[in-house]
Amino acid sequence: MDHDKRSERRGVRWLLVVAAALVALVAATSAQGKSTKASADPVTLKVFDANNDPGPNAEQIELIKRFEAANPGVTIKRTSVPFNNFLNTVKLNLSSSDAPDVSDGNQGPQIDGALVKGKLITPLTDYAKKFGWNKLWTPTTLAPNTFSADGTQFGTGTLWGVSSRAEIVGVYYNKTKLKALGMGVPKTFADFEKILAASKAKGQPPFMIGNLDKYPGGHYMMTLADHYSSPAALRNWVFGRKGATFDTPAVRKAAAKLQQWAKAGYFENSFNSVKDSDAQARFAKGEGLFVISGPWVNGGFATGLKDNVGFFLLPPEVAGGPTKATGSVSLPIHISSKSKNPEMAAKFLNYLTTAEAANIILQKGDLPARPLTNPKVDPKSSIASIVAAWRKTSQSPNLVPYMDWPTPTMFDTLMGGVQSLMAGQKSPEDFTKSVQDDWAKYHKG
Amino acid sequence: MTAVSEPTQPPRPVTGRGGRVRRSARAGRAPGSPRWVGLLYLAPGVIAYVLFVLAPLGNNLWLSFFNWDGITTSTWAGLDNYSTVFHDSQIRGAFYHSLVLIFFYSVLPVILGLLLAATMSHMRVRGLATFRAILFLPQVISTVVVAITFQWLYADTGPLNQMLRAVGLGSVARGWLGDFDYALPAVGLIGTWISTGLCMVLLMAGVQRIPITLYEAARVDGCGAIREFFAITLPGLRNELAVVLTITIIAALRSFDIIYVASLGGPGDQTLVPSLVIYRDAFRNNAVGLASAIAIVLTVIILAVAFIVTRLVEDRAK
Repeated sequence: MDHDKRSERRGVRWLLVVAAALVALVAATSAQGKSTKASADPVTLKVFDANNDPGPNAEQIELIKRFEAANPGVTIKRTSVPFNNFLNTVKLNLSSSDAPDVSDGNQGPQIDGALVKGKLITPLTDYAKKFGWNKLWTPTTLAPNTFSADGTQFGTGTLWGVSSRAEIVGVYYNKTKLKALGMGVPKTFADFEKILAASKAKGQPPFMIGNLDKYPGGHYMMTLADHYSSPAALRNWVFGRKGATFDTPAVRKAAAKLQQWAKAGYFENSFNSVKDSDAQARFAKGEGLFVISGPWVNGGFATGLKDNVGFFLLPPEVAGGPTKATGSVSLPIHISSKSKNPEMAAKFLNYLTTAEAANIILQKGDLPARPLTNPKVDPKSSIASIVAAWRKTSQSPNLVPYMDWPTPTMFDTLMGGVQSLMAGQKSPEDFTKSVQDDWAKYHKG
Repeated sequence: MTAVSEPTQPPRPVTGRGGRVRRSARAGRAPGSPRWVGLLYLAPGVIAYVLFVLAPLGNNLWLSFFNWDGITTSTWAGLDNYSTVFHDSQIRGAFYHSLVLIFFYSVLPVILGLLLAATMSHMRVRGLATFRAILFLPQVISTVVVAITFQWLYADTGPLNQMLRAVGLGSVARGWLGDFDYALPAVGLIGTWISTGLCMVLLMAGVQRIPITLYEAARVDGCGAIREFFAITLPGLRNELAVVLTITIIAALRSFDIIYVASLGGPGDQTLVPSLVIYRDAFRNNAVGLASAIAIVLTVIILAVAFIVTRLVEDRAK
């Protein structure tokens, strides 16, 4: 009895202590709330991106720092993951209750289509008008970031994302080696093939490729398909327009050409077993004459080869003809439909497209999406050629979107198919047919 | 029967048996019948198992009957996903590849393990512990590290090909992981390298359990090494073999990490396996239903194989 009473009394005392502590805590937090309100409206933007490689990562950190400095009270909490993990997590991330305000996406039905369908991102139509994004780029260039409101039609309708960077696929070359062959930058496709043959005749396979990673060969295929086909036909196919097909004489010709290059020994032996990173590192050390790839490899090449690396777009059939290339604005940046600060998020998106931001991106060796007329770069550098190629192509109808976009499974079908094609395991006809079968299965009716 | 006595009676000197009888009588059960309270002891395990194994499995089965992209509302698909699993040539190919991998992940390591174990059964090997530790090492190393190491070993300019070229077999040398005919065996041999140590350690432990007198008797009867192996070692290892085969076959059927890192299922689809397709379809390709259906089929196959192996190999007389 006595014991019980004592413990009861002790309990009451504890209750009092806890209550007092709570009161103090509430008082403290409310006081804190008042004091911060007095200065500026604090806004925290959560940003989720795939800028995980050293260059893009450094540039993103710098851009965020500048944006925060220009907008007092705004804090950006950034999460960044490697691209492969990014593809696997972005949809889950945006559908969670704790979704980021601003998030990268990826063009095509695999990611963006699903995000639009799920109503997870906000349409940017009004912001595009407000900030003049429509004037900065042509509709062709903006098309990859558009989707119909129901998320079924790709490359048309509402604008859902803005891109800070861009990509264009062309030929990197080792300047000294090209000179040693007694050749200059080719003006026609025939000239280009002459260089390939000359290099091979000297015992050196002209192309450096690491196709164990599956996708590098895809860029050769896309570049050749651009060369032989009409950009409009390919664009319709990528965007899933009714009646479009990959199984055309022009694309078959491109596939046959790639296979012929492989058979002629223009790629080193067992190119399908070389790691992409190894191939890049070897080119940066001066091995190999050509690499067909995009701006993401430029940083590594420029670090290794300095001014000795150059860039050109695959030359046209006749000198002075239209230069066509695969490329696009890079990952679209979206605003989550759950964001509590969409205005601030849009302001951040717009900052990423300004000339100031573009020049920061450029300084890190990347290609900004904003077409720059006076880029602050060394005119002898490869990045200067890349910026010029982007400006020219992105303002023409000759920019062809990536051919792994049209269906969620196309990346695997196309890249696996190119591995088979290049190894001579699949005929050009079987290759184009298998790619078209994948397309037809998804775009029914 | 005195135990079932009135509580008013003075307590008897308690023996273990008396106490138990009394309690069961109070619960109104016959002595020796199960006490439900015993199930409580099982509860932690059962709850964890239901929550983390059965519930996800059930959920997975449920999902496999839908078309679902992972975000928007799903639509009923009935058995469509299963029909795709059995008719899609790419998915069927993936299952076929995993059958091939059984040879490399399971059959080959078990044969090697048996050879080693049989040799050890009559030899006194100096530094056995060290030897065993070295052979077991592949089990300990992260498979990602192993896969990357083998990428370099198999590379066109890698040590394997350098060796081949050095002995005049340059025409055989190739980039193994990029070769359409040899990529699957090449990936399989990585599995062999990993599993052999495990098989050997388990089988050697089994050999040491076989009474030495049996070997002596066999020798007295004039058995050679081969006869001895089939008459004594192999039958004596039945239970160990069942364990080793089950573990390694399951590893072969659900192999993922090595292939994901070493060859990405390529070149073409030459090394594509079901787990890789599941991963791809569920997380990237907006086909959660199809991925679930493949997962269910894979689970059923694994259960069936495990059941058959234990039935066939395990010594049920014991």
